[in-house]
Amino acid sequence: MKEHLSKHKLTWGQKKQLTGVLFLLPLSAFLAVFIVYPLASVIFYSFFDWNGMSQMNFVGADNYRLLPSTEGFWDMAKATVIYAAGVTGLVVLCGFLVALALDKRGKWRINRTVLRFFWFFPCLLSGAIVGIIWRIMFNYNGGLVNFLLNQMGIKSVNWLETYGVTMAAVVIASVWGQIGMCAIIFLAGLQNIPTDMLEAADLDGASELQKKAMIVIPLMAPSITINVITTSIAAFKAYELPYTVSKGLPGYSTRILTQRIYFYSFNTNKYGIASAMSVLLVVVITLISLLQLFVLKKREDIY
Amino acid sequence: MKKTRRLMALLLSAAVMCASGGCAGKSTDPKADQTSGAAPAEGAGQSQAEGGAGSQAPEEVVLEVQIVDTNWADAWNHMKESFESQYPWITLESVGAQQNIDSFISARVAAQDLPAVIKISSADIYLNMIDEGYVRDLSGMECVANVPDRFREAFTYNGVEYGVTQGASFSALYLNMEALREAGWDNPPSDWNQFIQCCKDIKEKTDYAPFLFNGDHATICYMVYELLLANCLGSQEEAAAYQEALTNGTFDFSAYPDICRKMNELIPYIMEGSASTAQDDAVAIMADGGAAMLLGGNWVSASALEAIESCTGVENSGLAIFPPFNDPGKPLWISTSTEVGFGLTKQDDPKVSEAAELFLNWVFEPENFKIIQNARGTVPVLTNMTSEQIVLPEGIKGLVGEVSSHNSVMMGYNFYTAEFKDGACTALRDVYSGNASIEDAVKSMTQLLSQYHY
Amino acid sequence: MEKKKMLTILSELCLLACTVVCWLPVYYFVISAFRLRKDIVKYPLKVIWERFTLENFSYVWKNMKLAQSLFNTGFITIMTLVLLIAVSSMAGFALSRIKGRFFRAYYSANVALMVVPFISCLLSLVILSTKIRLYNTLWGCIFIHTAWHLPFCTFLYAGFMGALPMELEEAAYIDGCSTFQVYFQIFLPLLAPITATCCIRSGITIWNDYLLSSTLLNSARKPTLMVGINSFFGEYVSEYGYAFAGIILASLPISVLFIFLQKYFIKGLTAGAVKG
Repeated sequence: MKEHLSKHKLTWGQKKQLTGVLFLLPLSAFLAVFIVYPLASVIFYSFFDWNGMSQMNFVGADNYRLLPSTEGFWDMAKATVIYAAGVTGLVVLCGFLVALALDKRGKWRINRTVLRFFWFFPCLLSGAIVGIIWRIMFNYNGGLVNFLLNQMGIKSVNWLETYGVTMAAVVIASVWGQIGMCAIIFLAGLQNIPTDMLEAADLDGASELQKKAMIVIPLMAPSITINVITTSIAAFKAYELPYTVSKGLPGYSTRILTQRIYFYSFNTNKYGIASAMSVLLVVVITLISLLQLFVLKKREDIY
Repeated sequence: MKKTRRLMALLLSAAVMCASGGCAGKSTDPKADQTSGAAPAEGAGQSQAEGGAGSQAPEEVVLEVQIVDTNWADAWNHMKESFESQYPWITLESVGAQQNIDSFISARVAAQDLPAVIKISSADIYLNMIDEGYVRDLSGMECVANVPDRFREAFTYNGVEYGVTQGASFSALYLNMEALREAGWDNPPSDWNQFIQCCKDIKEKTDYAPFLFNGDHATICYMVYELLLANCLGSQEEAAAYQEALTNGTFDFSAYPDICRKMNELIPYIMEGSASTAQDDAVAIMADGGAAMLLGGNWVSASALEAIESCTGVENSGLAIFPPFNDPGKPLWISTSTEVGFGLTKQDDPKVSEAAELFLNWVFEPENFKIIQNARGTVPVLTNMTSEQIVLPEGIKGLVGEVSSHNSVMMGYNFYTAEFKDGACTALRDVYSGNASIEDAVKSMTQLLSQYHY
Repeated sequence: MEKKKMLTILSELCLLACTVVCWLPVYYFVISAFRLRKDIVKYPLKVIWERFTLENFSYVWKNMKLAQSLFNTGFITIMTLVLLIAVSSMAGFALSRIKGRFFRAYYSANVALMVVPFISCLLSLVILSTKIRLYNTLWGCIFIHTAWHLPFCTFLYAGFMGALPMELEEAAYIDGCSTFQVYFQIFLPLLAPITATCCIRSGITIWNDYLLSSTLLNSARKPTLMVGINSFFGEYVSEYGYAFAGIILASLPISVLFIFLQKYFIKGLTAGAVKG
């Protein structure tokens, strides 16, 4: 009797578990075929010398060993880090400021729905399109940016061919395309801050700045975490936008890792090196996101 | 292969002469030959078409062709129409026109889905494709029958004739003569010193930038350097040695200090932004009146000269000359090449193979090839084209006959591996935009070449 | 009070100025789509009504296979979203409402897959899709998009459902409902907000996808909008008006959708994000 009961109970629990597993089946199938298998085969390819047509030659870890000696590798590393850091920093900072500005409502203020639309609109455009627009605008001859500079009495800047400046141009274009998304997420966080806390601070005679520093920022910590992580991962993954703006020039100064992966896969057909670089990218992104999660979560706990 | 290359320059120039106005000089004999040769071909095509339609109503085929270039994209529509009206069951689809050819074809190789008709050259990816049997041998086909042997040889690798060239190309300098006149030059400069003086005058006396090229395009990016190099070589032997060393990966770019000196003289006159300018953009800048001289291949002659005319509003104000990069009193060197050819890939579907063959044969009938030639304003290599069929823009007509009378080196894109192409152009662009010295660039090019060659 | 009013107006003006600067590129490409290159270069920001032209649009319309690309892009986006929501809501339910070590581990693995960069697998995906005959098919694109958006959507669904109170299903289980029934009858109706989030976040990305469709689809036979525009602008085309006209036509559907559904868009976008 007792045995029977427990057995019956077990089967109900098992049934639930089984249904759960069943529910996970389609997901597992998709992930296995289109993410895990390709990832595994990239790791596999990275140990071979192969051009997609010839026989695959096993070369051991040679591809990895040769990575640092590929053309412009260290410039690429530098560019990748600068680009990711620049974009993440600027997007989060500007996004936060925009969100703060858009959060205020009241008399004498512009309709927020309209403003929100204006700020969010660039996020609707594809990275490739944003890249084209900015490439045209940054053109030395006849581009809008130089035209405006000239109107202000500043000499034309060669945006696409000057070290450092081109990186700035690429970052500007990327930031423009991503601020909206970031701001909207901050805005949601801001609207979740209980108003009584702010009112209490008002009664205590706190200044606007104090309120921001003491109440708003700590309460926004989760939003900041998610924005920093998503923006930085997106920056490491970005391909079309930076490429269409600068094509990786001048020198190797704006050639980020994703562009090198594309170059080695689809320009030189060196699948081995391309795969080794892909693995490198996976490792880098994983490490960075773990690190950020660790640091930011810790800070969140402090607040 | 190497031997072929060494011969190329000479052969090319000869062929250019023969194909252009030069053929008028020949007896009427070949002409008669041509017409009689062309007629049966056409007839055969038609009878085939009719026969096909009558007996078994051939199945519809969609044929992917990657032969179109943006500078004759408009003519393509005309070509497509006329082919499809002749072979109604074949639909042509142009692919890859606006994309980087190398990455386009690479991605297709990865996907094992090559267009039936492709652009082909001796770049390493194509040689790999030939090695692995992706490309069809054209020998014996009608389309190569009227191509001079020299060109056929140039497109043969390991016994496979892998392409038919669309023409012969050479480097040219397009001048806005109105701008030059404004600077006090009624005649174009004829040697390096005059050229630099002319640049200086333009810069000082007019609003035009002196010298523009589309450095975004690897061939042109390298061409500026290549022309300086060619004019430093001095003799045929040295040119041949250069070409061989370039193929072997042993060429030392830094062995010619003269190139660096000339480059340094030239840099102040390069229009800012040249290194990142695309081909169409450069042409548009000429139309906007941004620059006075444009360096380019002969394949942009039609659009470049038209752009200059639209800028000045004066008929024939555009003039093409060979880039006068020679030292005073020394002979002029230019760079020449076969143009990218068209080839066929092996297809699983016999219908597609057959259609592709029909199409390629059809393209190289003079009446049809003329569509491409006239739109681009280039020099065709077909021996059976009549001089009436070859239309060249007024400004470049004079040059075509003269190509053969100049020394020439092989246009560089033929030697490249993708890595060298990318690396060398990156280094050169840095020089053009004033970020690095030519001496450094030359060093890194030498190093790159030794690392990446065939 | 007067001072505060002044300050408010000042800060609004500041915000307005920033908005204008931010919208300058949009203004520029919108008006340029109606102009020829000469005008675009000479007077970047001036509108000259006499020289307004629709030529760019008619050229783009003729040469970009717009109807076909619109259909392909729309089909890919919609089918992907349908698959995505079906699969990820089920999985999210299992991961959040069923206890067990296996599900916890699966959840972590799912989160880990979120960081894998797409471009690193691009090459092997192309090779894979030729092997299983999905190369150059819309369904190949749909499956791959679905798979790559799944981890994130599952994560959102799991987070959303995890926050719902336990009592919801307990009563149903006591009444003798099976897990299937609980999912379909109790949870599914509650999922509207998070479904909106998934649709919008993934929908925008899929609509705007360039990398996958440019490598997996044969651009002549299966054109999509972004590939169309990019190959249109390509490396050589200097007639900026064409590029801009193409950009406008390609982003029009999603922009119009955005204008009408702005409220839901923004609600949807933020619903998942804050929790995450």
